[in-house]
Amino acid sequence: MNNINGPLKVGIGGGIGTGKTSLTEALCRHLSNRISMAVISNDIYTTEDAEYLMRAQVLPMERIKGVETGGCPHTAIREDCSINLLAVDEMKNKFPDLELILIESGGDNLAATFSPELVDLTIYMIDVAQGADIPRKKAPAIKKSDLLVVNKVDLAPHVDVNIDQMEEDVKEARNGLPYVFGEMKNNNGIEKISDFLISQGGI
Amino acid sequence: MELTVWDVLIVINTKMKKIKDPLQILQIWFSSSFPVGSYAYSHGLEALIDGNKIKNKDDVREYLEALLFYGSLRNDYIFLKSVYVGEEINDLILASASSKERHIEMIDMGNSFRKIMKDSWELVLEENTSFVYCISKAALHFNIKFDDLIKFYLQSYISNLINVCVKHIPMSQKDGQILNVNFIDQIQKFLDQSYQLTLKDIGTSFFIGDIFAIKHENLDSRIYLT
Repeated sequence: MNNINGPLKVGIGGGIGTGKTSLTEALCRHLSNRISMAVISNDIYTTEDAEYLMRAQVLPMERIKGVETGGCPHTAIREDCSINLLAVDEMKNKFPDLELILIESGGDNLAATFSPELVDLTIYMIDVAQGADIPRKKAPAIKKSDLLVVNKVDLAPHVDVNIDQMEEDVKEARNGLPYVFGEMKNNNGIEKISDFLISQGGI
Repeated sequence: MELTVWDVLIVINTKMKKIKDPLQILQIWFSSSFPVGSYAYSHGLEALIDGNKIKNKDDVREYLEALLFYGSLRNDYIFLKSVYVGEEINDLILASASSKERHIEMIDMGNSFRKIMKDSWELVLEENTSFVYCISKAALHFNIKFDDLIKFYLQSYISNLINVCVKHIPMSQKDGQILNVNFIDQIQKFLDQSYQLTLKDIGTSFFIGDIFAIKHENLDSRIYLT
């Protein structure tokens, strides 16, 4: 059956190594048996992330597309998202019943935003090991994303991060917008994130 | 022997060989990859966007039209033209900055432009001069027509700020391009009605832009320099 509204497009942004691909992998495992979905994975210089997802067999190979962005990962999701728009069209043509496309960015700083032309919802990821001061920087990615995910909570004691204080800072920076603390590798928090996608994204 | 049209063209082309094509020069100077750091300035827009005063394409269009017709771009037009005809007004240009950071923007972009001219274009320009002053002097040096200079200057200035909005609001690239097209006509309209402006007409009445540029100086989290 064709999906007349088109698929929900969700952007996943975050610094390199914060766990974007782990989140993508976990969401695929969690949702792909229920809904028709695809992944577009942006990567700098390589398509390693897309290949990782293929090897992990979280989705059939033809539902994963790698996009190489050269040296400008933000440009490709923000002010000139043409190569990603083409990838979205390709996926929509291949799978007319598509309900969800996850668009993973190639690694961002805190100024990153997704073009409203490319995605309907944005998830931004930070991780505890980046340091407790990240939420206090209050940049657009922290303040404006639809959902903020704080990953690798289990590492807090090893990197001298007071998780309660960090949660206070996140709460203040988000000013009422939702956030999730979790561990993508251990599936902790995935339920909340997919509930958010289902309720906010209407899938 | 009588010269044909083709002979004349060959003579002109030979003479022109020593002169670089002005349109190619302008394309380089006003490209977003020209390293004067123009991407780093939001001209008060960041403060307005963060304060929820600018949210969409129509807000951006209104702001930029006011900047062009009543704000510092109107002054820049007069300054560029005056320097082009030989007026030595660098101090006046610097004194017209409406806030501390606008002053820094003028000087820093001037310094970057002057360094590139010296390092790569074999042109030495006067120290501690504003961007507008430098670029007008350089245009004269390279035989660039004022009409071409001013159009490239205004269009690239506006495009640059549209790009700030595309990134920071954020706004779609489609809306960004609709605005760029709109400003081709707006700039022509501005030029048609401004050709008689001289130095005695400098002044602005774009208060929201000036006030938010000053507010921007004290934002607690900033992406842009102004």
